[in-house]
Amino acid sequence: MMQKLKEQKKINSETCKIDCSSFVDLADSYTIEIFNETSLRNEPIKKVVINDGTKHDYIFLLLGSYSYDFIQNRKIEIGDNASVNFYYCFLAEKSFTLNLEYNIRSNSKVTHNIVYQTKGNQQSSVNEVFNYLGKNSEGQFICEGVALDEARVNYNSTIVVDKKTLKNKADLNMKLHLLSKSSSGAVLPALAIKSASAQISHSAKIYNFTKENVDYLMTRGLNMHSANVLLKTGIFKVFINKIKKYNLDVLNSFYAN
Amino acid sequence: MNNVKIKKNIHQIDEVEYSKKFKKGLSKAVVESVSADKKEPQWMLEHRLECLQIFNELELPKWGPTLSDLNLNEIVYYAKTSDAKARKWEDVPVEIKDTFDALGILQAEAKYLSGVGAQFESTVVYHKLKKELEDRGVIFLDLDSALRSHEEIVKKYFMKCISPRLHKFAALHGAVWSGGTFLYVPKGVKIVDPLQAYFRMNSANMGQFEHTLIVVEEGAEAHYIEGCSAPRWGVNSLHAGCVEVYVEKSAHFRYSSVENWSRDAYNLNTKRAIIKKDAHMEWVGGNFGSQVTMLYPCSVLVEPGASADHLGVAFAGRGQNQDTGAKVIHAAPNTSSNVVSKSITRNGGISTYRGEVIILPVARNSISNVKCDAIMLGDNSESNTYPKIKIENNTSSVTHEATAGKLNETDIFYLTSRGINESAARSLILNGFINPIAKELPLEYAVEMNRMVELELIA
Repeated sequence: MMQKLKEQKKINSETCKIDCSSFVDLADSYTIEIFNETSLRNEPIKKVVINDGTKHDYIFLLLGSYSYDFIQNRKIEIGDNASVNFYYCFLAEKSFTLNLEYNIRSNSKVTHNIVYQTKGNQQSSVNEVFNYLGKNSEGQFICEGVALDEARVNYNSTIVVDKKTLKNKADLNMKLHLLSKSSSGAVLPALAIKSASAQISHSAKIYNFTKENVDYLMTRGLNMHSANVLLKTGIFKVFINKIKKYNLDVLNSFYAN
Repeated sequence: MNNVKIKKNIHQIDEVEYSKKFKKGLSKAVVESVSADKKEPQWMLEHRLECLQIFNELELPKWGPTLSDLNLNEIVYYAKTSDAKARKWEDVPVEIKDTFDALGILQAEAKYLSGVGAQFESTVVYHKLKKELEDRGVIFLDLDSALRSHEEIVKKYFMKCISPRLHKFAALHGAVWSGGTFLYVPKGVKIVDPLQAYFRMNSANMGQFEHTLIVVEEGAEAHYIEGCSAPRWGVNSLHAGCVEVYVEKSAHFRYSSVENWSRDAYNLNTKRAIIKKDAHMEWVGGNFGSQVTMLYPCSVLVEPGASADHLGVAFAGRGQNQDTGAKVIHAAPNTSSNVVSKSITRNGGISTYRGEVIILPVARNSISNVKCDAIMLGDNSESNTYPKIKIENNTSSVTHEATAGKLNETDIFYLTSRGINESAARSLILNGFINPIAKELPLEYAVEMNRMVELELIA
């Protein structure tokens, strides 16, 4: 295993000091972090460096119950010619705040996928900044989640394209489904573009599942509750399918419940 | 008095004689003098002084374009050319008449307008409404006159929609407002042709603070257009107007504006509408001139079935910062809103869409769509989008889409392969880009807007 790692341009996960029962698995070309128990609070900024030319999948799971609200700042440096897929799944029972800052250099491809569920009186907050610093990089940033009960979701995402950059592309897509009367959400999908050669787009949608979706499933024999559950779990199913090759039992069992 | 100059464009200076012009700077004495000069009722003086106090308490906005170069002590807060307001153009001083003639106001009135108002500096110099509309109870006056002749209506609505505590420049406006339009459309009256007001700021360091107050009663319909311009002096000037619109049950109102202030003007305007049951409000705006613009028309949908459309286009060239957008507050069930914003930036200009859609818990089954597109030309341009969406019930939906980028090279190639030269192809694409908004303006304004885009491209 170690030999194999040395042969690869593997991820360099710096200052990864996390006082919890998590593990960082630096296997062939992916990293998995799972937070699911014990105390987490105001962790220092975690810096992740994806070296030049690296191809990598980075999976981050926040699951189950823990004693305190989860708060973390992450700074992610993506080198030249890297190709990285980030997968974040938040199925926690406490409030969480995650601040992410990506610095993307030249000729890289980045996908960033977030799925989440918030419930009870959870307050979830994700603040992302995607800084384009080089040229010819492409990014696709997707975030989809559901809010139940009295949960509140804040999601801020900003794509920043620096003045001296060239021909970068980015697409940001945010969806939030409010599934109970008292749930609420606020999103801010922002763009700050200082290079005319950039091609940037974003979209955001906050809504409940459409009547057509629910009606369709009900005509197939499901009751309304089951139809809603199926649509909700469908969001996570799509996400799990993307990372199923990693055979994440912990996520599969969590999803099954 | 100097001779009248022949104008070549709207940013040239008109040399006129003033019957009153205050010294630079703002004080309690200035506010009292403005009120005294207008012979206002006591409540209005008290309101002005309260606004002045709020202005002194509030700080400059900490967001948006920097206003550090705007020295409020260097602004002239009141100037007027004459005590008399004309109802015939022949009675308007010839040098001012020439200005509005060059701007095409006289011709427009003759051709297609229901009524016209013209403001020069702090006061309205001309106001006229077609006789048949007067007979149907429509009131179209300058606000100073309306305060005298229809004090009760003005008192009922004045700055109820825009609180002086909204921001520092709303408070400043409340303290020194002068001129503007009062439009009252009675129940069921439908005005076919638009009404128009034109605001001209002529002096160096001038501040213009016109107040537009519009009440459209139940089932009524009207379209009101505002145009603005100023000459280029090389020193800062300030425009901090307010537009308040009250759209009553089942009424329909369209407010169009083309703001083409000179490149040394700060345009810090506040516009807000309260829209009632099944009523509809449309904001159509074009922002071309000014050094800094901060303009975010706001619709408050307060009763079921109310709806609002916001259409805006901004053009930012060298040295310009166009910070525009829209705000919609859904405060009742079954309300809907639609926001479309377009911007073109070139040669180091900055354009920003800054918007907010709020759907309150009571606003169940509401819908809002927001779409922003930006085209960037040249290397140093900047385009920003800050669309804030807040939704507090689960039966409503909000969608937002935005794009930013340069002109599509494939489109240009396609047009050039059809025999169109590259410059014309670019112009054609840009005109197509702003067309969804230009087509909502009266033809004369749409043509003017297209021409402005072409001129900016040539420049």
